[in-house]
Amino acid sequence: MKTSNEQRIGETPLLELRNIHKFYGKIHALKGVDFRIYEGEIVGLIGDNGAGKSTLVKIIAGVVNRDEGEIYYKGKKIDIRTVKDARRLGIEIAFQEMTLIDSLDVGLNIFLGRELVNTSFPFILDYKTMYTKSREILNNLGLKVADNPRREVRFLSGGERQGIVVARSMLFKSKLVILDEPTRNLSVAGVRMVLDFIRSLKKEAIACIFISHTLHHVYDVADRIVLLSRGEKLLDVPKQNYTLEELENMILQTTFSSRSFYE
Amino acid sequence: MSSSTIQTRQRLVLFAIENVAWPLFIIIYLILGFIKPIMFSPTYFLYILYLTIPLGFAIIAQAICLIGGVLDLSIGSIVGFSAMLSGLILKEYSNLIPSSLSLLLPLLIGILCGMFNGFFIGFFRLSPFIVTLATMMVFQGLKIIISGGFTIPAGYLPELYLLPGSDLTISITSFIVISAAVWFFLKYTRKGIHIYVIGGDQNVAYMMGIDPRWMLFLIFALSGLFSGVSALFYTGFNRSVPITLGNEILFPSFAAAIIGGISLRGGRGSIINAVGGALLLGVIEAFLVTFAISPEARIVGYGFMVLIAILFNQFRESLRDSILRRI
Repeated sequence: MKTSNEQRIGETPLLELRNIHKFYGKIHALKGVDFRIYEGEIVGLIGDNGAGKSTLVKIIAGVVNRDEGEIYYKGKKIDIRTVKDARRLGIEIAFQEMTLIDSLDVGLNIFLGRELVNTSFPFILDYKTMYTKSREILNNLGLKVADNPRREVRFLSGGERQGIVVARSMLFKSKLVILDEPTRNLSVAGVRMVLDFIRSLKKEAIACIFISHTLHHVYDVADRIVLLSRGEKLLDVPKQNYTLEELENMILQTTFSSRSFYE
Repeated sequence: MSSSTIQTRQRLVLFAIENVAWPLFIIIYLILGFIKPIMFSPTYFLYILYLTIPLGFAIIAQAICLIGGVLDLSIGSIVGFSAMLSGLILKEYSNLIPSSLSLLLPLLIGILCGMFNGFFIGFFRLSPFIVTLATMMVFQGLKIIISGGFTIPAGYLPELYLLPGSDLTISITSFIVISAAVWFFLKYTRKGIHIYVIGGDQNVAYMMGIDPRWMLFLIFALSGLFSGVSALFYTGFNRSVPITLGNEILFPSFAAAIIGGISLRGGRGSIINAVGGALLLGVIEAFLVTFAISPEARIVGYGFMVLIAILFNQFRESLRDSILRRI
């Protein structure tokens, strides 16, 4: 296994996972994966379908439970068993397809599960503030749907749907944002918007895991590239030391050698 | 300017489509009124309203379930069982229970029955259809067994217990207040909105930190609660607990909720419109009764009504979608 790590000497990672295993029935989806991310760091997580990318981030987000392994948050051993656990730690998932309710409107979708309540009557929903904040944040993202936060989400385009997910992570100032293919279905302007958003996270010391099929999309913004293949971490390298071509070659080599190992 | 007029017109059409149960109620009321002018008298109108209320609570129960994306086949059985059990307890132990607390008894029994459903559906992830089909038979059978085959006459029940269902003013007032409270709960509280979320997509709800297990439990507990309320009002309305109580609730509860625009796909619809659907059904029922249509023929009618309501709803939803897509 070819691994070289960016050392942030003397710094404790924001989140560290050690020796994570996950089985789905007989399928060994993660085979002892180590993963860590520092404050304000952008990690590009890449790999083919079925490589274990989404299983890994789902474990971090509390959607899926690991079978083995430890999780450390700022050096302290912790447990993430539910989405609520993860949110308490400031971990925000932004899975496009899996986190929207089609029959509800834009405003409610942005605040899904964290609806705002009236300050004097804390059991009553505060629609007014929710719609105002939705309008603001969608306006900042340059989305037309900002005009109408009461529109049902199923009538939105792919880019607008993505915008809602991005808006969510901007609104709830998180410590760690997980973006699953955030540039998929987006126009050129939309892609630029998302990449700008990821950079702005960095400025606020928010860490980000950026999942993609291909290196091209993550190379621009990532500090570090992690490659998963068939449940194993094959590569974990700081981007700054390599050009895009060198990285591509490394990916080809490692995946090729691991494939030949199996075949 | 013209585009804004079109928008306004579209919005009006949209509003009419979404709340179609009310205009439909008025139109059918007018048609029936021309056939039988007595229907136009205010007393008759109030009487229809009054007739509809016990069923109305069962419709609220079904509507909550349908909004949550599930269905409850056991509602009628829970209504009958909680009316019967509560009646029997009051008959035997009326001296031990203060009559003000007696009002809560059917509610309590109803909520426990609903929690029983919710326990299996929420925490064992069993299909709501199968679970409530099973408990429909369980509660129906239990009702008959405990009754011993006899109706509980009014003489055995505290007068206060019969009051809400037998007094027209109290009946109508409580129905309006309770419907409004349920509407408010569903639209303006977090738990209420989460019922819509669960009805929209349980997996998404889970991903966003809303626990579908507890939400399903809550939905069925609420369904049981309003079935219990329905039992209380049926008892007062009949001034007795007949052994057949609750037998003819299930189908109308679906029909009214669906006519009221609550989607079978879940996550959509408003309680206000389910109430509109209930009134619509009430008018038709009253009409059939005044024309002395046999109960058997009415059952056939209800069957077709459910079918028509589903077709009607599908048409309405696609119409609504095509308008919304353009706005």
